Amino acid sequence: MSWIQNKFEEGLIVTSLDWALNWAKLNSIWPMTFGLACCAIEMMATGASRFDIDRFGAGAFRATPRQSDLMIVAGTVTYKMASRVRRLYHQMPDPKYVMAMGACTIGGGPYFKHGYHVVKGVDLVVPVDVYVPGCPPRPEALLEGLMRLQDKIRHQTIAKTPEVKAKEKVLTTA
Amino acid sequence: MDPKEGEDDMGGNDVPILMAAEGGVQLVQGMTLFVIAGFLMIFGALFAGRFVRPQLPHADKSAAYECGEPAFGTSWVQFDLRFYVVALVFLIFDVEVALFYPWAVVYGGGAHRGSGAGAEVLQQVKVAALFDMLFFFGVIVVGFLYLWRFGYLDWVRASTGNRAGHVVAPPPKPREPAAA
Repeated sequence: MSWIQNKFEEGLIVTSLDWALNWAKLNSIWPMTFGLACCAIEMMATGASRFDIDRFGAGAFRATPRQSDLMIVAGTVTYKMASRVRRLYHQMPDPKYVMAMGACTIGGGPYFKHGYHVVKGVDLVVPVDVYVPGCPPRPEALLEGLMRLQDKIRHQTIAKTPEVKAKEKVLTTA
Repeated sequence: MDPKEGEDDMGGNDVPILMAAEGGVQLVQGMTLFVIAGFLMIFGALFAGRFVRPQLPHADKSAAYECGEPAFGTSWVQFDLRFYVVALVFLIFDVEVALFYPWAVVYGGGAHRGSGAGAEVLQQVKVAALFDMLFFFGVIVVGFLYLWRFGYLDWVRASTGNRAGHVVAPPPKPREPAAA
């Protein structure tokens, strides 16, 4: 959590700062170059010229978790890969987001019943922000997921949350 | 040249010198401002970022290796010294190709046929470029001959007492019977 978080009450300055910070964040979501299975083909198509994820500022696929903000888990997560996925997630700098792309990543997909080697959903390994269903999802669906993630970032605020305010109230009255 | 004209020259020279001095001061001021602004922008951004960025340290986050695989061992490992020579040789020939190719494309063949002064100058440049490249190639050839002579092109070679390379272990000469 950043220093500025939960320091100030909501006001004109704070909301303006929120707007600026969120604007910068949501227009430069750099995904990680990270494809696990066939969904990655659709992810590549999303990055290519016809669908062009760069229109949303998310075209800079980084080759290292250190520089990326978004992990698009594109493809079947096997048990062997799960620990790697988690390690890569931990190596990403905050704030970081995860998008579960495709049926396998959401809940095991076609491997749900007989796939002895498949994790039944990547949200068992890392916290997922956006689920993009499909087998595989079309590039439009992935773009839609990215826009939903942008919506999520757009509503972030650095102002004091109601919980923090309630806690402060308890402390001051006590 | 009469003395009056010379005097005029002297008088005319004073002003540009003064202007040059002023220009120098302005240059120094500008450079100073530039350096200060550069430092302020960098450290201002870093300072502002301190308050805005989240700081959530994690053991994996501070790990050196970043490919998802767990790292093991140390980075202080020994590797074969022969790779060093191979890398150097590769570098040399890489640079050679990188320089030879544009030279051959630009100045090679009859690509720039023409007439007049331009063609003449081009011909001179071509000749100069040819000798430049020959010199460059000569330097590389010396290095290549060194490698060849001292056996760096052989992957397997004795490590001691064998500068010639092509003979791994000279067979002992059979002792000749003493001549009568």
